[in-house]
Amino acid sequence: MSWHLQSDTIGAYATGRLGVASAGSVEAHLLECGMCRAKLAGLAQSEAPARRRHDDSLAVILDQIDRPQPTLLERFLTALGVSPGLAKLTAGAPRLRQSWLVGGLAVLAVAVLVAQVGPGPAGVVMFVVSAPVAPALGIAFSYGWGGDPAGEIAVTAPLPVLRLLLLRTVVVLLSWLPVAALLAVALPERGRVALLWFIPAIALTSLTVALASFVGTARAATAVTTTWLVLAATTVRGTRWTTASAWLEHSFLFRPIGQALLAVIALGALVVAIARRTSFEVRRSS
Amino acid sequence: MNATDTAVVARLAGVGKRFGRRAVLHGIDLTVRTGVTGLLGPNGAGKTTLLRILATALRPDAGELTVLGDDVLDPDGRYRIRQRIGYLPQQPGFHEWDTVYDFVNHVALLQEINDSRRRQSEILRVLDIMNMADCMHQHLRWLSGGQRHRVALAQALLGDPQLLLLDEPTVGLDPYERLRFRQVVSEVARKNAVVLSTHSTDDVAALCDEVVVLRLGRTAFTGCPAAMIAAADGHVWLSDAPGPRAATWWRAADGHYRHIGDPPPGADLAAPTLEDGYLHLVSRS
Ligand SMILES: Nc1ncnc2c1ncn2[C@@H]1O[C@H](COP(=O)(O)OP(=O)(O)O)[C@@H](O)[C@H]1O
Ligand SMILES: [Mg+2]
Ligand SMILES: [Zn+2]
Repeated sequence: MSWHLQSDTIGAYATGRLGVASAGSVEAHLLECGMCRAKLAGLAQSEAPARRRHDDSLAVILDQIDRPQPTLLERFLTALGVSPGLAKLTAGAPRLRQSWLVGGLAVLAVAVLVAQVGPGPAGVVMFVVSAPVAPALGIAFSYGWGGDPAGEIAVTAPLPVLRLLLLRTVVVLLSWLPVAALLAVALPERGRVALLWFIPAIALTSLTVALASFVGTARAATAVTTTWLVLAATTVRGTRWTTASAWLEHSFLFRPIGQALLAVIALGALVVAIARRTSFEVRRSS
Repeated sequence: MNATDTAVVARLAGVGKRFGRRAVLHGIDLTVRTGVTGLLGPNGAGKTTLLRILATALRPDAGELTVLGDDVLDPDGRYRIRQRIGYLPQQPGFHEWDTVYDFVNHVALLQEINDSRRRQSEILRVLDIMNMADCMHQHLRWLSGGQRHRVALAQALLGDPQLLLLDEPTVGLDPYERLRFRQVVSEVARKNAVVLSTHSTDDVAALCDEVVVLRLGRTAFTGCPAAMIAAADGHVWLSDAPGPRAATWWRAADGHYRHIGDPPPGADLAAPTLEDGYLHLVSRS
């Protein structure tokens, strides 16, 4: 803002002494300018009696700026029955969310490219193995890498930490699963093989939440995804001439029994996280 | 409930904390009342650990602790405590990309101030107290150190907490900000309790009704500032030459040497200050 409202203009506005036309332009500026709004808020407090009848329009103005329209994500969560406050908290810190989403997308895009132009099924295998990793990392990132930077303030607030963590986890999964599914359509492989990442994605996410109750989100995500990648890398194998499904099913992780086991793990981990909910509520590191 | 009971905000009995095998707090007994309690002590004495325990960020592993009438070890009690305290950590982290308003809003939501009208006026109230209302739409990462500090203080004031816990709140404040801070704390302490840690005996003299000196995880002193001054009675000496047997000595601005502890020959007894009292308490071996 290069110009600001005069103090007496603000005073006149606060006490309702401005005509409709000038009040309109004052309001237009107030919508843009935090400094004048703050001045107005200050004045409004000191001139309480005179301001009464003006209360409503002032409140409306302050509302519009300081409670911006709920984002799509917030509205979606509210529609699911989440309270507006919790929805805002869940949708908060969007930068943290975007970083992992973009990173995960980049990896999958490379995998799709390799699958389309590269020889053999390496691209498809890469896709299926790496797609489950992103949401697990996403949980850690939605708190900031290394935990919520304001974590000490968060743990001493009444809102249960696990409730927020689970909600953010749902958001992470809801944003990742459709994206990965859309990209999977671009794979040369169709059907079951192109969906083998789905159950592992949920299992890794759920395991990360459970493990986070012991070691915090960042370490949990690192441990879970590293274990997954090592397991997959050492058990998946095949040759250039065998199919992607042969490569993957060389590993127990992608055989029906392994997938069933992962589904059980996903549920079990969720139970563990809920049973250990109070351990999210004390700080861990120094 | 009688009048003295209502003034008690927290009660610690034999509170201990260890990290691994290392004991950091030993058997702390303390009663926190309405007004300002100052925690003094050298670095590593356990001030931050004690404040974290009071804030329910850490669990004590020995002793008993009730805050605002609730037991910190009971999950429901902890929830009720958290609704009624405000906490400024020694190193509050920020969401750097957030604006001041968004950050305080985030904390207000964590504080379960769910009604949006009420939340908004509460945010404006605390930002106004800390003189930050005019930069509420700035991003945190562009703020100066002093401004960030004021934001951190503002979030601690949300919801008008009955117990306000401040870990080194005056570090890095300029004299004007420090004055403003003292006004805010005095205002809060008229009805509620404030516990703050500090390295400044000036803060204690200006603000505190009660002083607790921590040393190596134990309370070395609890009492009012006047009693802390009195603790050094008969231990402060002035002379023209340094006397190395004293626990501490330094050359004062007037050219005399001030000693705490054993006097050099021919020294005169001096009236102690609050700082002398503190130095006497922490330098005793
Ligand atoms: N999370 C932790 N893990 C291990 N040691 C810790 C931890 N937090 C504090 N300490 C140790 O406890 C002692 C007291 O620390 P602290 O409470 O921060 O003291 P102060 O705030 O008085 O400087 C220090 O020796 C510190 O190293
Ligand atoms: Mg400290
Ligand atoms: Zn302006």
